[in-house]
Amino acid sequence: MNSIDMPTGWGDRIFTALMRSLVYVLYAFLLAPLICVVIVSFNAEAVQTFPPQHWSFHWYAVAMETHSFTHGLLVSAVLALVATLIAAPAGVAAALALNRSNWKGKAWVEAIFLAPLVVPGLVAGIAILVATAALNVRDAPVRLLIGHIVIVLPYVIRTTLASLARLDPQIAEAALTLGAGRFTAFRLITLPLIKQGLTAGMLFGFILSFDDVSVSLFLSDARTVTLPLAIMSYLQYSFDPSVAAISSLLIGVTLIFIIVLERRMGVKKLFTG
Amino acid sequence: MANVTLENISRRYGATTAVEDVSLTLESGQFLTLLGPSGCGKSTTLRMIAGLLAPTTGRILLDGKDVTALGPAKRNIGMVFQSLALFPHMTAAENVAFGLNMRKVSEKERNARVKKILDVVQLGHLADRYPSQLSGGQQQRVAIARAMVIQPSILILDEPFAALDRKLREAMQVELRQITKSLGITSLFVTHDQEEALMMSDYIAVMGHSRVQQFGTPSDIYQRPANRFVADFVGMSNVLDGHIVAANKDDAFATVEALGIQFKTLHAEGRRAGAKVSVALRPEGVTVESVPVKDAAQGKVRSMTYHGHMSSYAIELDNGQLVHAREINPETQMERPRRFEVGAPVWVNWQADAVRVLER
Repeated sequence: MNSIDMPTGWGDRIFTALMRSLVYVLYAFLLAPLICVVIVSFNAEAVQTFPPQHWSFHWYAVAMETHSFTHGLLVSAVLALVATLIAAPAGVAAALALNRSNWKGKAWVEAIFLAPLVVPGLVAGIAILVATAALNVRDAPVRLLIGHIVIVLPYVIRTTLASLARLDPQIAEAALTLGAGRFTAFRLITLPLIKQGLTAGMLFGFILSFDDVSVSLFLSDARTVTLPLAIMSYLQYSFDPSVAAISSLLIGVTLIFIIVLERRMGVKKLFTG
Repeated sequence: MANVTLENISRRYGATTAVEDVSLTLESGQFLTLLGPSGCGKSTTLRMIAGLLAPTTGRILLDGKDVTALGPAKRNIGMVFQSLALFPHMTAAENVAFGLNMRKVSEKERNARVKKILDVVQLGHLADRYPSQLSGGQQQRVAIARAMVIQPSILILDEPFAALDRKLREAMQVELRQITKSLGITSLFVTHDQEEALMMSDYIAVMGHSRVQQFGTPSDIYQRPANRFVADFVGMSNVLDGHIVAANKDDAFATVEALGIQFKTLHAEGRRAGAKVSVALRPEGVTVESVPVKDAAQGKVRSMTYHGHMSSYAIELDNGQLVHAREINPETQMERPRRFEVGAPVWVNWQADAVRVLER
């Protein structure tokens, strides 16, 4: 990192100014569409116009009265919550095993656990569809749950592993020598010390599960539709600002989670470990 | 308090052996140090006694009871870790109370014991601080208090002072010894620092190449090293090839020759004339002269290190052998703070009673 107190010449200052403008342009590029959606959602007209002529909460009311949206919101929320609650203990167990020692094939197992991070969601979705069909599992909720656990799991493992790597293994051993059994040592010592990383992984996994389209696309059916999928199918027939309203809600929920995440651990740490 | 016996303990990792056939006995109330260079197996031995690692073969007895198969929680051993391993999310008092909570000690008794032990290590006023709010020396005391409050059968310390600066380390050494002595705690200490081992221990086991090389009191180890490894480790950095010229049963003295110099020494018991031996001596036992003297080997000063009150010299003899010498610098000659400069021709001899005769 550059030091603030470092003496700088004119060349350096121009370079810094250029880099800074580039960052602002990038942010604008990324955020502009989102801001547009939020603005449009307050439009009073029946068609999406930008900028809106009249302002209103009308389309939020419409969105909340649209059954596919409210139902989708419920499905997505329950799905993300249950998937996270199942993935968390499983992920912690996996991370503990991966962290413990250098057994043979450890690198392979780790790669398999983290594979969903790099495998495209569409591929994962199709794979789970094929696998569940082969196992004769045809209930959309079960399929979706499996798919979403696969979404959440790598994040929990990743952040928990990062926390464990920072943890001195002698700390848990100290608890053992003081008379704690393995599970007590985990509950009283290890768990509180990896809590931050674990919570961050759970929150992040929850967001990704909640927002997911590509994996869910193949696993849902007519009765069980997640919110992002409901929005997609709604858009095929109508283009009124209620879509913008529900999308803004989605953005809002995600934003709240990201802020909580940032407060707890720092989103940056999540990726750098 | 209890005694500890190791019976032919070995630990292997695949083809490599970390600890080979170690047998030791530590009596109740004693302070035993495992001394050795890093990688000699001393920490592995300690972890096996604590129950954090199972020996590949051999038995561990606590008070005559076989505990080899027991987990660490069932051995009642207090351990101070190299990294201290304090619980960062607990205060000093909570750290110390942890072992008592595991033993379901009543709240009243627990509080009293925590308070008492924190007073012993002079931390009573800092009981509510978190480890990160304590200095290195204070954290050290918390770790020691946490291990001692459970009234362990033995207290195990794995290089606990390695991270401290010299002054603090010396203070902690004295303090730890006082505490263990006054409470009669059986202690097992691990270090690679021979000075630390010599000043603290009742007994020392010098470990090298995965084995116990010598077991004895500090003065045994220092004055009568059993072999080249121990000699080198306790500072006898000169090891010369020699042989016994004459020895007989009735005479305590034997005549030994090394570097073509014959001398009489007491420390060659049980050796026969003609036997090939190693002659070990400390750099402090080497005398260096700038003029030829009788019974001295000639050489040149190859390098010189200034230590303040002392100077060390590496002297290459004419036969190629390197000899290390160390001398106190003359206080009075301010303009010439050391006796010899690099390249100066010198004559080297030694005091016969500074020599130890070892197996070749």
